Amino acid sequence: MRVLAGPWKLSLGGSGRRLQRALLAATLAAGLSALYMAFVYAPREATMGDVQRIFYFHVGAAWTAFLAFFVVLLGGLAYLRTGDRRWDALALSSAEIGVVFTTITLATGSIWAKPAWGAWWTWDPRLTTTTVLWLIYVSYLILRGAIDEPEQRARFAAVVGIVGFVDVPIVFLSIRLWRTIHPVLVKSEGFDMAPEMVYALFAALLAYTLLYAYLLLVRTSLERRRLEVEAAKRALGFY
Amino acid sequence: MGDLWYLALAYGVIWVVLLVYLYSIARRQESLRQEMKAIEEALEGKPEAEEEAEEAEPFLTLVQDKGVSREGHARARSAGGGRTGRR
Repeated sequence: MRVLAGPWKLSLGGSGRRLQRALLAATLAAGLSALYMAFVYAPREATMGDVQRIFYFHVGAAWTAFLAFFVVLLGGLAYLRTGDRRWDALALSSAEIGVVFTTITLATGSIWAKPAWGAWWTWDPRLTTTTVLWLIYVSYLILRGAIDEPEQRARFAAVVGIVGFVDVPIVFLSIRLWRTIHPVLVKSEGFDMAPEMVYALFAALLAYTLLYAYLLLVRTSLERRRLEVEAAKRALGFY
Repeated sequence: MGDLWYLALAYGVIWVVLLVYLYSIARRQESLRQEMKAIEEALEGKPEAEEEAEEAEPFLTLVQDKGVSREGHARARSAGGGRTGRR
């Protein structure tokens, strides 16, 4: 909207919308390919059977959550360095998406655990550290909602986003640092699975990464529009 | 319960979580669009702005209560580099 143009003009222009549409198309194509590879191309796992096919999208979601929280870290650092609220908008958007993908990781992992381990949940190090990760970034979002002053909110959130990222390598290394029943995917000699399964996994990783990029673009655009409205309200003397 | 039931449940959960998130984004976009529209109309001093404000979000109630002063218009126009007209 032109009325909100000017110094606070942050929303997507025409090229941004074209990028959104291109990313959506790429995400849909990659998603369909990943589904085909997970359900048809990849062989049935000998021990666990078809339920092992959860693995492709469970690992994909975990990877995307890590990526999202890494972007929160970068956004937080950039905000603290520059004070530019667009970085804060990026970090917030990425944190929200990261929480969504961590939720998917925990839910699909729990569903897979029931037939594989005989229980919906165990306090295994990998599961516990992932739950802590989820709680850290849910707290990040709650904290943002609890602080009214925008600069203070952005600064506190940046610090929580940066400190919270410490848990990501802990989650990743938990299956090596502690005794665990969670399978180890990558061993010193490479992937511990059939090549077709590795290809299907990479197809899922690509699809999830594209989906993340699309959601980030949409969510950041929304957040930047919210900043426009906030700036307009401030200019009109409503704050 | 067989393997396929768990598989279907896992993929169902993925779709539900993603669709709920997309729906929440769409809701927020629509809410923000209404707020922006109300600000525009308040700035242009259109009489229908008040009617719109009745249906809209918290900020719109603020518009209704405070009205938009001449100073507010001027500030918004200067902050917007004078480009405060419609597209």
